[in-house]
Amino acid sequence: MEFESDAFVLSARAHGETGAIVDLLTEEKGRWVAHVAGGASRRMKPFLQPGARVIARFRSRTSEQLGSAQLEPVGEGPAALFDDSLALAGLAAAAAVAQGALPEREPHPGAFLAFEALASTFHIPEVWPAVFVRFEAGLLEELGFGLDLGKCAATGVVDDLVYVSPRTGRAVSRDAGAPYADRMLALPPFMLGAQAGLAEGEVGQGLDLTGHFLEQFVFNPMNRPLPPARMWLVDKLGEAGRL
Amino acid sequence: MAASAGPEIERLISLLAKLPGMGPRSARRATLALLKRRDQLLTPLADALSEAAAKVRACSICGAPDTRDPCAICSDPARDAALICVVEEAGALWAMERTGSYRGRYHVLGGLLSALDGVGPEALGVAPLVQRASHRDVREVILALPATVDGQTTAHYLTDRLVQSDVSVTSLARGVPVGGELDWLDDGTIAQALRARRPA
Repeated sequence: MEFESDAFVLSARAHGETGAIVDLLTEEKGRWVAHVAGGASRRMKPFLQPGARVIARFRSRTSEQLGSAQLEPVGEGPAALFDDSLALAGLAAAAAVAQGALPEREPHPGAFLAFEALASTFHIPEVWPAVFVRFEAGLLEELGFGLDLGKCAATGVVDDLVYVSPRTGRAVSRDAGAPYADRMLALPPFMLGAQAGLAEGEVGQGLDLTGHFLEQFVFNPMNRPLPPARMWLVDKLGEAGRL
Repeated sequence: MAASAGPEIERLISLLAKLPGMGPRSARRATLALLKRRDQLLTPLADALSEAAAKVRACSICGAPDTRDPCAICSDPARDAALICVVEEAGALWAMERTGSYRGRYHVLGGLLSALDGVGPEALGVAPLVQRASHRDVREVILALPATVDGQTTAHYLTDRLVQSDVSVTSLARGVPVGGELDWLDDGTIAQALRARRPA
């Protein structure tokens, strides 16, 4: 079996003295793990970092095997973010959430595109935290747990949607949700459309929202907590006053 | 395994095979070499190993492995106590020492923060570093950490923690290595070098 695909490195760990086992998010085949010969070499190490963009050529004798991959770097990769601690935390969190949430060998082109969109915004500090929230919402959608934010679940109205039901992930209008406001999750306006600006506190609301559903629908059924990298990101954004 | 060797020899081979750079075949060759040169190699090696096992400890100041505590570097009065170079592991310390161009002291973290692997600050020797950096003799902390996502995440964390210590925090430059030709370098290294350019 052979194929070639654009991919992002999600993680890499040493295998033996010279090789590495690399977890990749490919455009066509979803998450794919492969052995990379020479992965511990000086030539390869710089791009075996979470978030590095590569062209991967996979090869295995049968489809059940782990298989091997040859990687060719594309662009500067995470080195461009080395001077920005928040962006580095964001990149690590995105890689960890994608790795933890997506099943192996299941095509999720939307997840790749969402990761690509997020990776391209890390150099814009005032934008990427909101894109991170949208990335997580995109992951939920890819996994079949998309948030239904189009209309109010109770009344069907499409205006003044300010809550999300923590049980169903459906939007609820201000009036319909008022009696249950203390139990509802806040729906930040920027998640309703690209035109909405970003007000203070909305990134935190968005992270609470996607974090809740990632935990409830994706990580809890696997008996796993949200990745530590995501929790670090939330802490760091909070410390920096960016939530 | 050596087909007709005794269990002691087989054990020696299997243990040597676990060393970096060794496999079962090279471990067999090394074992044969040791057995052939018993007085020159085998016995001195066995003595050296047991001596090292008995005496080597992590320095209580910097964390580097040494037979003395404090280690040779920490107890050397000729070393500049105003400089502390922070490294991930002892291997990085030895690499710095090989250059002969650094005369300060070290601090070995014993690892890196890793968001992916869930390695947090409490698992590393950060608190002793902050304590050392607060000493009035210390002027500069040099972060000599890997140019990786984990390495730079750790560097940012340490910089934040050292803010209150009133020391200058610097990090190693990133860019074109000595002998490096641009067409063989990765894009990230070239871009970093370009950003860190300086007047010729």
